[in-house]
Amino acid sequence: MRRPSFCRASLPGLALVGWLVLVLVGLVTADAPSGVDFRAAASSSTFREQLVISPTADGLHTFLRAEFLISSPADLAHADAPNPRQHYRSDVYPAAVRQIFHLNPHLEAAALTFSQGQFMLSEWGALDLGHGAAGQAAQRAASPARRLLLQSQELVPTGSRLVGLFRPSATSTPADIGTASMDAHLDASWSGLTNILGGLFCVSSHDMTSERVVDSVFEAGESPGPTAWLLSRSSMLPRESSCTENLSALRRWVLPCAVSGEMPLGPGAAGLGDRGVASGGGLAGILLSSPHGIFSAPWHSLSLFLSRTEGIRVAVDLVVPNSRARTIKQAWGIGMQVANVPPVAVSHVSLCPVASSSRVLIFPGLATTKVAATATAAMAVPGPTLREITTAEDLAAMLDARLGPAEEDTSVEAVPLHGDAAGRLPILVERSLTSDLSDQGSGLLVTRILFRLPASDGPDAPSICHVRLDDVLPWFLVPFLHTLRHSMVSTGTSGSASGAGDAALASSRPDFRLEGLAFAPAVPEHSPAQLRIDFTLAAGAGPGPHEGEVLFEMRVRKRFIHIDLHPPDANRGFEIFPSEVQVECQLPAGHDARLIPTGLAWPADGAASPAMASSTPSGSVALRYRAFTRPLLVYLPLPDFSMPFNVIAGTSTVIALFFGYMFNHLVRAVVVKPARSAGLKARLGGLLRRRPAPPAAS
Amino acid sequence: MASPLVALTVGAAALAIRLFLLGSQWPAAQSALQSPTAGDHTALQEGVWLWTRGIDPYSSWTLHQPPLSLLPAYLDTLLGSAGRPVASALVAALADVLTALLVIRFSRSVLERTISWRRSFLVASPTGALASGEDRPKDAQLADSQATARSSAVATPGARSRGPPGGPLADAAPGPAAGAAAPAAGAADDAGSPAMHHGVLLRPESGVGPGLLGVAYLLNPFLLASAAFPGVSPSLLNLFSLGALVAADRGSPLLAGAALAFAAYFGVYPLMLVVPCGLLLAQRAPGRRAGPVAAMLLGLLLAGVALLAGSRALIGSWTFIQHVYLFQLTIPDLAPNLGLIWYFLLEIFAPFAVFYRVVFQVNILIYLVPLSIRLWRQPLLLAAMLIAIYNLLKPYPAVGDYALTAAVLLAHMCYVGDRLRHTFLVGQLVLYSTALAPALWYVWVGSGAGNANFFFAITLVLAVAQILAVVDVLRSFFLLEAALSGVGATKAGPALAESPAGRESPAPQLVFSFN
Repeated sequence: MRRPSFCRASLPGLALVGWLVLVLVGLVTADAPSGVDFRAAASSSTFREQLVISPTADGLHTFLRAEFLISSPADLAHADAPNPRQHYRSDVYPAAVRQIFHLNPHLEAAALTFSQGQFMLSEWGALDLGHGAAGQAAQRAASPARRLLLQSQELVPTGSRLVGLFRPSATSTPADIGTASMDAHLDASWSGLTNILGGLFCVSSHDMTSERVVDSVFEAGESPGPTAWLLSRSSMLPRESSCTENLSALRRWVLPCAVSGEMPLGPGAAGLGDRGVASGGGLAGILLSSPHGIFSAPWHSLSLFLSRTEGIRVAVDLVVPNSRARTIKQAWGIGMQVANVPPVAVSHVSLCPVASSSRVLIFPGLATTKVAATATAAMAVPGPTLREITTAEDLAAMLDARLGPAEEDTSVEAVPLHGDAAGRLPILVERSLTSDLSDQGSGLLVTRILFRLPASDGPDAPSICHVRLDDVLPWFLVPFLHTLRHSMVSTGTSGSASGAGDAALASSRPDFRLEGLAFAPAVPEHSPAQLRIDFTLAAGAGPGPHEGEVLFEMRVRKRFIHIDLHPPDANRGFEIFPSEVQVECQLPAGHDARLIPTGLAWPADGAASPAMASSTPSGSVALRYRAFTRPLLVYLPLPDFSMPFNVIAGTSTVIALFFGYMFNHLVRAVVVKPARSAGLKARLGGLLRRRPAPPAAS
Repeated sequence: MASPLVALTVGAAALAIRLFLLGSQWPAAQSALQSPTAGDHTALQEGVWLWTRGIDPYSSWTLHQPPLSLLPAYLDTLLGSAGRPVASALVAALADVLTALLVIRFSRSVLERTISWRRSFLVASPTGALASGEDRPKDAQLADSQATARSSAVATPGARSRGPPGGPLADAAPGPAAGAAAPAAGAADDAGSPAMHHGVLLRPESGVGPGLLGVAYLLNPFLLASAAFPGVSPSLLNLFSLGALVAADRGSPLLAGAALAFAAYFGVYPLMLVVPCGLLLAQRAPGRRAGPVAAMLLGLLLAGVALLAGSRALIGSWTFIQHVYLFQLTIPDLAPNLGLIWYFLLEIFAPFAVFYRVVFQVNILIYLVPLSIRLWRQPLLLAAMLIAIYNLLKPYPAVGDYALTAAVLLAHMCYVGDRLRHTFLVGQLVLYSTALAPALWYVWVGSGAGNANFFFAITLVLAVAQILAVVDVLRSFFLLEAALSGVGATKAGPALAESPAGRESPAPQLVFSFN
């Protein structure tokens, strides 16, 4: 076996360079100065990697995020950046990305995500982005590209999504959205982007044709100006099969460190390889060398963010069940076990030599605190564990930490991290489309917002949630806005006395306020319909959590579409994009929402910040997250696919029949036809009777 | 309709049926029975919702009815009865009752014109003149169609006899052969007599009076099916199309032009009726033909401009031109209906889509010129043909359109078409398709078990029924015209006279031939 030996050989080489060991426990707010900078070519961009391991809210799964950041070289900010070939060998900034920008001069930033499986928000909890009130304000004030970067760190919808930010043409204004000239401008840039990303990363972005895109203006929050807005075009595909090709593309085209064992290391293994690419894998190697672990996870997502100014962000997120992997190492290796391949030896994992910083962030959950005996000392400390990793051994020790209760270990109870109900997210969303049994041609689109708000704690600590519901419907589903109804069903306070009666129910009913409704109708065969509903739910001071659901109901009609527009598997139905909900809540301090710490935004300036829902001075907690529904599967009444020719022939025959009749009667005149000779019947009769037919009468 | 009381009763009954049906909407079949260009009430409500909020009602890409259609739907919302759109239903019912009255006038006009047309032959023919002079008071007979119907009953069985060879010629040239062809009718006594000739020439065809045709229109199942939906456009379309014809027939050119403008406003194709309307007006004033026609065109122009300007003022933009009129010409929506075109365009190979759209539109127009040339003496028949043709071939027919087809064709079937050949078949086909259409629609769209071919087959059957009816009426008219205009008397008559009587010699027949 060549691979292991080869990897072992590379480690002493790395060690020889003399890395520093820095272990930081607790909240670390700044990047430690990196020991040795392997940016041998002295490029202007830096590469940083981070691995986040945190328990999900139900304590039964582990969330893993490998995140890589490459900062932008200064010269990329201009549309007329120099030829990327000059930088091919001298920079960690990938030449492929440089070329993307070179080929798309109007492209400012793009975010491509694809994910498979369903993120179980109600069980696993929301990704905590640590955007407290201050974070929210900061995000609103950020530049468009920065906002897109922050958005790419949030939860992504199932399927794939591509958002592109483009510079408008010089003369256009935000009001030009939807005009032909703007469309042409966007179409050219968009098709270039989708084609190149589809080709490089093996994603079906070719299908993101104009009928699936949503255009909007991406404004810089609070500094409007002539250059402060960009054109945004986004598109979603409800289904995307990610495969190892996607990983390979990320590894090959974007990440500077090759994956150990997958790519032969040359003599310069410790530094940059022949191709100017560092070998040794790095944290990416953990992920990318064992794709089995990723693809066997119940949910995973890959995301790629490119920007001229904000750099590149690559992330692989996944959720692994603890029952199948007791250690992080096993979490990676589980897929390999299934595939009957020996798990990757953690000792083979190295750090990327060109990374200016590598860190592993492990958040203790219930599992690590309860099985403290088997965990390392560092693990037992409550609060996030942040480690700057410099040696592979250090990493190995870290990864050996127990993740959660073992299946066979009956002494440890698999208790969820948070109480079952108490820690539920304040807002969840579901969507369905129901049709009458007698009519598949129309239906009722029902979006259910499930809420559970704690009681307000006075004016200083309100319990209030702003919800923005975004729905994108393909053009063949026609929503009728006049049928849009909303209603709120309050199920009262759970756990309160059953005899409380209606009064308690009424007092537990939160305030619902519809704040805005925006709608852009679909243009048949051109663009989808968009619906945006903003509303606020505010809980009063009544007892207990206020629980119930807000229902939005709307009638939709299905269009009958041309036979060519049906997919090959038309009987399966059409998948409709998930709807998206953005939630911003102010909840009384002490509310226990289900959150998955993520180590948060990894700001480009390198400052790490604590990854908990930040507390505001007034004693309330700001909570912000994004949720998606499942994609919908919609059945359209089908035409006949097998024999269009018969239909064409049938209709043509009837029309020809009509034309022929009319032609006959209009062109011909009535004349008297002399009486015919004896009829056929008489002749036949004559034949039968073996007599000559009677002669003609006249 | 002899008595106003009866008329009132029928009108009230029709209204009651409509209000009753309104409660039992069939949303399942809406897209099949109502076309996007007429009667799609959900789209109208959406348009009103947008319109009352200051948004262009056509921006939703679902509304394809002219802006004035919004007004009844707006009344519905004002009355707070969007669930039960009473205002729309009342407008539609009123329009239907008015249309029924127009059907009566139209049918009476057809009857009168037919009788006078036949009288023209009668007067021209020496034997006819003799007969009419000596037998019965001609005017009384012409005035009372019922009485005439009864008097002609003796000849009817002969005309209706199965054998095509015997029927037409027996009417055209009474003789021994005719008597032989209809022995059971007891016509043998009259055979060869002037009375028989008179009866044939003046035959008022059937015992169906115009009033009965009006009632038949009002209670037409197609119209009632349309009335189950609260849209007003199909009813208004029928009202104005027929109104234009009746107004032209009665010599009101401006009114005819205005009605035509309204009809064309609600559906493009009634614009073709400008030819029969012009012919009607021109024939009323033989001396100065240009005057009334110009007046009609002026009325059409003025009313059309007023309608368009009013629509523009109502919704504040010209977008309705694209969403209503270009929509009907470019046929972008492929929702199923009872017409012929939707499934063809849904299945046609993409490169030919534009070509066939052009072909279908041209196919509607193409009959206008030859029919006008051939039928210029019979503008009402020309109008009936045009109405039936564009309702058959137009891309977005609503089920209520077929009620008008039925009304105008029935009038001619009853008063002109005594040589119909396919009445039974047409009736059966219509029954067959109306009975099976809901079932097969359910199989396709309701349960999802079948595909569109199920429903498509039914629309083909309905189309064949209409084609047979149209062609039958036309053919019957031509045969009758030939028989009356002396083809039989001059050419076939001598031949007949020479032919020996009896079963051995088949009768000569009138046939179509190139000449």
